[in-house]
Amino acid sequence: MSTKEDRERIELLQGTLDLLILRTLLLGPTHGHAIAKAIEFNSEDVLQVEQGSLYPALHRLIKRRWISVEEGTSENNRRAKFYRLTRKGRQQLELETRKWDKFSGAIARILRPREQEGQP
Amino acid sequence: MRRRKRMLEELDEDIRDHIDRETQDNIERGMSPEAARYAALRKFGNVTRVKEETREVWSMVWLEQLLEDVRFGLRMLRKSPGFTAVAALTLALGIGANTYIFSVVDALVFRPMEFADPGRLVALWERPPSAGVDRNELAPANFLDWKAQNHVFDHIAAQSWWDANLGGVEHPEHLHGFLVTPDYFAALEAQPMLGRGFVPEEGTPGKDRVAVLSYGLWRDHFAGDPSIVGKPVLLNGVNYTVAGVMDANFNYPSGAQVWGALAFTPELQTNRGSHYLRGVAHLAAGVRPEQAQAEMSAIASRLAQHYPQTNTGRDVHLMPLTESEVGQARAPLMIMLAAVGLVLLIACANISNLLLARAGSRQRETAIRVALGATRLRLIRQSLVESMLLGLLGGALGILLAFLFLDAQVFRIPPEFARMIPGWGKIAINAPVLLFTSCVSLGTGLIFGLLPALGASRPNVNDTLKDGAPSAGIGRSRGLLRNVLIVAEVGLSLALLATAGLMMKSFARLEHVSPGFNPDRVLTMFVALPDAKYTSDQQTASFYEQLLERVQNLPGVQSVAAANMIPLGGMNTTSSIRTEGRPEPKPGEEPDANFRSVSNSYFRTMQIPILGGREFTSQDSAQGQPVVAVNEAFAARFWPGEDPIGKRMRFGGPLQEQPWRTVVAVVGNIRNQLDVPAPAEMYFPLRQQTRTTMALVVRTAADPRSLAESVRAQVAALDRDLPVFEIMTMDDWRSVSVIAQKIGGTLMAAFAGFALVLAAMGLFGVIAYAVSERTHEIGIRMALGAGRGEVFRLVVGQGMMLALIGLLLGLPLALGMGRAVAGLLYGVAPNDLATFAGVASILAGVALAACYIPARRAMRVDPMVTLRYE
Repeated sequence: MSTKEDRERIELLQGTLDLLILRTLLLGPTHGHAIAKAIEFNSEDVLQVEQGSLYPALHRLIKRRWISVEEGTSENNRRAKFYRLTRKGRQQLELETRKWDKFSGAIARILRPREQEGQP
Repeated sequence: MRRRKRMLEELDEDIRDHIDRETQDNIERGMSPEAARYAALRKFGNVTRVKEETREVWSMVWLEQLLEDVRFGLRMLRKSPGFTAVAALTLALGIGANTYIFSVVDALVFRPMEFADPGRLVALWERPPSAGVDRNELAPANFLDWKAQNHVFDHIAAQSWWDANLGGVEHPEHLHGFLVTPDYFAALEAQPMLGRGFVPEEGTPGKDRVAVLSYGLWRDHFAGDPSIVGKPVLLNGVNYTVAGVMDANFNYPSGAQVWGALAFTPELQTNRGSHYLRGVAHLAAGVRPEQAQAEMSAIASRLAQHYPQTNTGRDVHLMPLTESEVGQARAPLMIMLAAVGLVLLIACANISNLLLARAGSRQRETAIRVALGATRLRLIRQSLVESMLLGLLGGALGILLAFLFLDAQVFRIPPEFARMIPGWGKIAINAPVLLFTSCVSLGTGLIFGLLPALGASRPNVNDTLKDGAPSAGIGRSRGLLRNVLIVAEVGLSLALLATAGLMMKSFARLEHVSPGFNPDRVLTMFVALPDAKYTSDQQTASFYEQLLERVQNLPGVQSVAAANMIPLGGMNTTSSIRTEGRPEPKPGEEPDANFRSVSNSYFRTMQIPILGGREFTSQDSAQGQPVVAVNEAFAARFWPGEDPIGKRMRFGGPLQEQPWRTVVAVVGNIRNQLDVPAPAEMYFPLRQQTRTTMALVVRTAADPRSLAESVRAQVAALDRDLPVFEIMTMDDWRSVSVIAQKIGGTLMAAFAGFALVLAAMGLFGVIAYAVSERTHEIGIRMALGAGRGEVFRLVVGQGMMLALIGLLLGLPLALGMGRAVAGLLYGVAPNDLATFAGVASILAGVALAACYIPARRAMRVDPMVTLRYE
């Protein structure tokens, strides 16, 4: 892989992955691999998810009862585990989204003027 | 927990599935199967680490955080060893005292007797018509009627005291025995460990020579012989057959060593005048105690109709067996437990105060933690964990102290008496006590830690981190809290001091009560002559006369006498009486009086003054004119304003054919209990009212104990199978008779003293802290011309104001405590002004002293130094 590609990809902030999983599951229940794919696809490959890190996150969400897990059959008729957003998880997603918007807005306001100063 | 296990079991499969799908995708994108799998694995990351992290998600986070808090707390406690030592020692004393008192309460009040089903066991008493008496022993005929007529009990049994002299051994020994009706063990649902209990026919005269041994007797005297059942044992000079052995847990009545079969002679079966039995019954299934009481009362009123002369107004008094056995000990012990609990509360307030003071110096640390993202809850938890650790540390030390207290035997009671107290032998630091102590330790940690934790959890991060100075606003609210705690400490201390003062004063009053005789240098011991060997009154009286003569001739003996009861011995016999020339009293209204049988030398030996008439002499024999000596109270009650000498009275009820007796002496009143004025009492000469069990009273020239062995030898010289028992001095009897008041007063005084020290320490701490905080202000005041005296008054005034508020608020509590102990007081009103004024001044004086040192320091403040420093 090229160096440029590496630099443009962003390591996920802790906790952010949880938010992304919840957001993905808002579209409907699905299995782990599909969640990883969806995050990569929707962020246009900018967000680098080490796919394995999905699993601790999923379990964290199950433990908090923000998502539930059920047996199901995937598109090619294979048995798989499906993760589903719970009502509690939906509320949490709304809360976290609002918080994120506020946070990113604040960061952006702080960073933008400095960026302008720094430009030649 | 189960969810966790299931989730982790399925994780492996899930991961494999995930990698398979990624591989499949890669193959579809045109990779070779090997490359596809390799890429999939790379993309997934470290499988082992993923599994580990997932497992961590399910691990108990709170537990780990708790451990972290514990480690941090321990570090903090180690970092300030001075604080830790003071707090832990304070707590250790408080918790140790609580543990100790609880171990006593637990054994004596909560679990004094181990019965299979204590809720179904009731004690039966007669309730005589005389006011104020609600527990009278049962007369045998009444008991038999109750037994025959009731439908509410499975079993109803009776017991009576039994002096059993164990013979056939090297040193004859007096056993604490009981005669019991055959279904006694069945009523208590107790199974003998070996052999059997009694069978019905053993309850008939002639077939009653059977005995059940206690575990202790069997182990100590029969070497735990497993084939003891059926063997003979020599009791009171007669062979009894061992029917069974009870197990070690069976200890009822408390201290019993042997049980014999109680058989009623035909004569006793109709006796309704001699009250000497205690009843115990087992409620039948489905019968409530109220129902049983109602039926027994109905039976009692039927008996009263049939036998008006003996039973008029006599009811049955049913009470839970445990209540009957330990009811009297409960109130004072619970008061002690409450008092020692208050002491611990004061200790908590003190430590809270120390923590609040420390919170000031730890503000920076807290602020940093908040700045680094600690939540309020986490801060509170961390702080509580720290104080609970301190509580546990204090608790652990406290348990050690409790062992010391137990060893030191603060409750020192002669073993002869102690073993008769239900539950006494079980006082120990055992599992229930340790559980109690653990809860108390954690609880105290929570109590004293809560206020400081809440206070510390909302620091003003900005101000604190900006200049490192404690912010004024927070300091003030914390100061208020500390003042409130001090006020509470002073108030609680006042309550404890007042209670202790009342109890000590009561005890001192009791100690100064004259018993009416001279208790100095008097040796006492009991002898019980067996009926089988001493068959006639003549024989019995001769034995005692010979014994008295022998003892009188011993060197060092000034005077010796015998009596069937000794004053302050806790026992009385009462009989109804008639005085000549008065109309026959109505049934249920017969007057009664205490009586004693005494040898001729009794008044002289005990130094009871003879106020009129003469001593008993050898003329007062069985053949002589029947005579009696009465005490002043008797004379005042029955012949007020008259000379009783020469008057005649008759002893016993209407059915008993007793001769008229002439009063030959009036003697001084003596007290049988120090806190009860002497009742009407009469004395009979030994020859005319012979008793087989008698106490020897020996007035000696020197230490009475030194004569015990030679007196015992005189008994053995007359009858080598005869044991003596309860060898004590009259002083011992005297102190045993007030032991409860002594223990209560002493313990309460110790608690109050501890509380006083704690309150003084607390007040000192608060005032010293206030002075250090106000150094600057004091400097300015002095610079502006305030004199040293003014500064001194300022500081002392602040402290004394707190103490005064505490005293005022503590007063109602103290009065309440006084009322609670009113029943234990003798000669002191529960709101005794002198006591209250005294303890309030002590407290105020101590408070003044506690303020004095910080005030001195405040006076020495140099305004130049303080202001320059600023």
